Amino acid sequence: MTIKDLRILPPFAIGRLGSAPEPMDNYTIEDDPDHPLGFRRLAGAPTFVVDERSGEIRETRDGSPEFKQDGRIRPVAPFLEVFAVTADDVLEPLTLDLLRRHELDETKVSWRAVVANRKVVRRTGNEDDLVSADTKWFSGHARKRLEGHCNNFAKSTDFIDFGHVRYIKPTTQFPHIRLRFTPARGLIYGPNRTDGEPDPVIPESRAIYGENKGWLGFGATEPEGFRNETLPPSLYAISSPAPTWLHNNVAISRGYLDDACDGFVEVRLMVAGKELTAAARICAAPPVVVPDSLFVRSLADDLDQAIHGPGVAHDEDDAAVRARAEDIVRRAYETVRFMNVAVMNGNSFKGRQALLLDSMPEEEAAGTQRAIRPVMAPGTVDTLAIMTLHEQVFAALRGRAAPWFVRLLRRPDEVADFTDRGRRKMPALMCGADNNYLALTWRQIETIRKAGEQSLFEPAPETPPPPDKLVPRNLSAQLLYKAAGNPVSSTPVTAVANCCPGLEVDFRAVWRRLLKGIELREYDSLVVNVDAGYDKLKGHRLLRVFPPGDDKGIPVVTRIVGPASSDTTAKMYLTTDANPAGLAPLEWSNALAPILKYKGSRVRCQFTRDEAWELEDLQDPEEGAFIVELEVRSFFDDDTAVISRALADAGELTQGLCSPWQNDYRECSCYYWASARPDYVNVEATPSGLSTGDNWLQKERTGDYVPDDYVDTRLILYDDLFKRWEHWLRIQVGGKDVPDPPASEHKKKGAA
Amino acid sequence: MMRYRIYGDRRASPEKKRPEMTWRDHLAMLLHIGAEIEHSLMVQYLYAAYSLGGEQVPPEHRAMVSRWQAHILAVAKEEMGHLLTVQNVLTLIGAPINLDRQDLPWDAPFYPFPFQLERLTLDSLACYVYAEMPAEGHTAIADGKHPRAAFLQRITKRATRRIVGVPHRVGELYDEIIGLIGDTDRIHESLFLEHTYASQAATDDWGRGYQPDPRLVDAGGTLVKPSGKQAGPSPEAHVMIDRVATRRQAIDALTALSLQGEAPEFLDGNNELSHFDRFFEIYEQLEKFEGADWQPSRPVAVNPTTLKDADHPHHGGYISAKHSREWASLFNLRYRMLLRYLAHTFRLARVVRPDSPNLRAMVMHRVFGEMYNLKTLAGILVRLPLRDGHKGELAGPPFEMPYTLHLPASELEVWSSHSDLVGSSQRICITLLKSGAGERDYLAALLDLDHQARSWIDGIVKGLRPTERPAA
Repeated sequence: MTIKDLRILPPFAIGRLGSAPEPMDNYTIEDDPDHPLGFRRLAGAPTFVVDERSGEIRETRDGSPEFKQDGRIRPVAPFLEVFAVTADDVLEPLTLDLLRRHELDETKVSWRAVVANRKVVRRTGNEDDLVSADTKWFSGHARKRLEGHCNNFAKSTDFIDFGHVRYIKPTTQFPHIRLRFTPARGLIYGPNRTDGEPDPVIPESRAIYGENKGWLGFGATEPEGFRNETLPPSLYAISSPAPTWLHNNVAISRGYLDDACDGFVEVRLMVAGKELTAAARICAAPPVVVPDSLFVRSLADDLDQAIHGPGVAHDEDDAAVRARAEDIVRRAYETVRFMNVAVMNGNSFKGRQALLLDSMPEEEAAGTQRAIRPVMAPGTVDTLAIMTLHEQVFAALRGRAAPWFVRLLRRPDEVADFTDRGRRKMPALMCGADNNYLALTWRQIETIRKAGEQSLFEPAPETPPPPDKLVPRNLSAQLLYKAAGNPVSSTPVTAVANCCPGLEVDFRAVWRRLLKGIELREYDSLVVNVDAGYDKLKGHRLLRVFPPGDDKGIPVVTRIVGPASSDTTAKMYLTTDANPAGLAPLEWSNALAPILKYKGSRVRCQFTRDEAWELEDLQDPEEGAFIVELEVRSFFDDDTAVISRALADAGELTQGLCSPWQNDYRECSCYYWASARPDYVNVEATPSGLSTGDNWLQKERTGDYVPDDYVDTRLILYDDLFKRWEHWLRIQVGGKDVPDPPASEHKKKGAA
Repeated sequence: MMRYRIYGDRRASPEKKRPEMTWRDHLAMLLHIGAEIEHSLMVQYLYAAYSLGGEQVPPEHRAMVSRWQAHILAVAKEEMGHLLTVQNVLTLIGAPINLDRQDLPWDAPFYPFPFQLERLTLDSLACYVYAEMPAEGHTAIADGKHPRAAFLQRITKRATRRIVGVPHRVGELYDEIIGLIGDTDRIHESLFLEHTYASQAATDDWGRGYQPDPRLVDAGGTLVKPSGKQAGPSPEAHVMIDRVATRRQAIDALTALSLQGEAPEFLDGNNELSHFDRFFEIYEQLEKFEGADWQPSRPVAVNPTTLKDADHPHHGGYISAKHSREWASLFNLRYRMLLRYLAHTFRLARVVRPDSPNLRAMVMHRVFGEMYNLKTLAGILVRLPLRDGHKGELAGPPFEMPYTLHLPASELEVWSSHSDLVGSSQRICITLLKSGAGERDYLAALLDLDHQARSWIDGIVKGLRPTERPAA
């Protein structure tokens, strides 16, 4: 056999930040057979111990899922393995033996890592704010630090430490060619101030951003002309009182940056005179604080839809479809269990008006300038009861009942339906990537619909679904591949997908350049940049895309509807002065999924007649709308499961996230990602039959939930997180706080 | 409000009331019968729906059979709405609710046909169509002018051939009830207890999204006509549960309920399917396959029962296969739990505040949980044998009524009885698991749920006030 091509797997690996010196052990999450509805069990898995001096894997030991060490969070440092395509349908590990058979050895393998942090660039629009690191090609086994340099740092020698990569030295015992990415410690960097006022958070060693370079104080003056704001707006540490919406939307930057990043690792090998390369994406993300629960819609779901399209093929294995449907429902209750459903529903809390607390109904009221209304009948919403109901649905699916609730799932084009009927659809009470009510992916919905479609007629299969084969053409298997030694938290199943802006990545960014010639804003259909020859489209809004043969087209915007004021059986379009057409953009991941299969082909695209930089510029979007044909880019790089570099370069997948990311854990509420950034913890039933628990952000655990108004001093505030996030972001297992483990021997001996 | 012609002569008939009863009492009795009929129909429709399917259905007909099942399940859901609306009217007049079900009084006035749990066939379907049919003499069909008249007469003939005695339309009872409620001489204004409104069952709680899509209006409130061709009637269920505070509201609610059952869509061109419409459509389609070599439904037993009693009228449906009988017992138990939780919600409604999470709503969620259990267990039972060693006939969900639905007097006893039932379920599940039954994943999940339920109930019991506990 001949090495024809290379792949790096997994094609997307997530590192998790943490300052503990020892990376997280390998672990998995498994069902508990004695309590199938309970929390998943964390199980240690074989963990590689890398010799610090030689770079070899010294041994494998049993992993232990301990997330902290001496009060510090253990980083997740994923391995990335090289595979060789040796035949059309064969993907096999690149090992010392395979190299030898080609008269090669491990010294002939070289690596390169390029990562960046573009968060400040995204806000300022100034490319001099780009922080990037490039190891250049290397073949040695020493650590290669990822030094993030920036034109706007005070000194050319200043850098942000993004962590390091290491080419693991293969041995006879561990012959697979692999690289390890160890992310940074979760530090915050800031401005190099010369005004004598010390920053309360940034030590001198990390005060590296040039004082007058624009990031410190950004937002103090009104922009001249159009500012390409993020959604949500600002999303950075501010010196003006935070949060902005309680203080006249003034957001003056403190000039903070973080050590999160995203980018590529590449491998190179000459085989028979031909240079073979492969790439994979990496990112550094916040830690998983709820390791035994998964969110109802993950990045894996969205990537699965990008691969397979929005439907479910008729020949997909029934057992596999059913297993996926059960998994979605299970993740639904794993999410709900961390929400204080009564508060999220828009109920008042101990007499306090719901308008003063953060929830989707409150967001909806603010956005439409209508009175706040609870989503469901206020008396019916208790977390434990709602969770039990979801568990009951899951149990029914396990009993092979056909899913009866498909009509109760919110379609992705119904996210701006604010009637009671619309808001009560599932998933309920949560926010999607378009800042409206969350919908599952089309493929998830179709999976649930199809599961059990045949169960009415056929006996249920007794055998479990066949495992996905790891072959070159099976992109799903490659995407979900877990390299040896990698904990599950390094995989896309643990990353959230309703990116507004997201936690691991802002997946909205990937879609901006899907149509060649234009760049759309990541959260709506405004054309913000164009290539030469497409100038007439800049500032216009995309309304609809027409796949070949489709005259109706796929809308990428919808109209906001809500209840008519005086007729409970009627609905009407909701408009405001700021949005006279009542338009709501639809998230890209669902809206554009149907056109991915037309990669390389041209599709007709409908744009507004006039420029509409702000929604208030748009009175009648359809009037005079015109058509332009644009080519659809490929979502993945050729024959791989790597998201195309043309869609997002290094740093672009994380550029929309908060700067620093710690800001987001204070600023974004749980109705985004309840099982990733929880709200309701230590929940128990009371003698009244209702639930009680703590707010995850409560400093003191009293069992008496403190609702979040962003300024309550009983809750963790911004600076608390900036200074001691590893202390305050408490890990949850079994729905309860995990106490810090006892001090290690290393610390007890007071080692330097 | 659907706009239909008024059907039937709705004056109260004095000769139908027993002399020892007041008119209010008579009205309460009629409503009780109404509730029992709704309950009976719902269960029979569910059984028919669950019987549909099986490997014997040719692939080219499976989409059609799935649609039939969806239609019948929609009817069953709507019957649930009717049942709750009738309970609301009972509450309005200060009468006790009635969740009971009489299987055998069919020869009493109003019962449409003998109670029979059976697979869906043309014969059983004819009975359903007939029961939901609009009043003869008030439709263009019966006077032969409508193109479908002959077809409907054929259905009537098949239904009446099957029923010994006088079959009835469901609408006849509601005509009687509505007439009596509207009789201001016999039912005085003071009999309507407006204050009970807040404690009645509401669509907001029980409707679960089974309502029609709101109509689009403009900023001035004027209906916006949809562009393009108007879609046909929606096949989705429309669960109507009306709370009632006045005589007029009670009349309107019961009229709507009655029309949802019987008003034919093709007569008035409204955009909702009545029960009659749905059954009629299925009948039209199924009749084309009469005599074909396949059946749309599985060979489930007629009136399956867990009772081995030669004198029992349903003895022919005795589930003698031990495994199947254990599953059937579990089904009966969960059915009982559903009805008890439902009854409990009506009691709790009087003592909770609806504007914040409350115990009544938590119990209501348990009602829905039990519905999901019944759905799952029915799906299992329609695949299990009726008798060991006999593959030909299958069991089916028995829907056997418990010996009583009365709740104990005190809250403590009610919760303790809930706990008892959960414990019984756990014992059956463990027995099934130990005997190597299939569906182990479901049994394990149900056990887990029941374990949680008992902990929850135990917590509530401990929290009950000392006055609610028996004296030491």
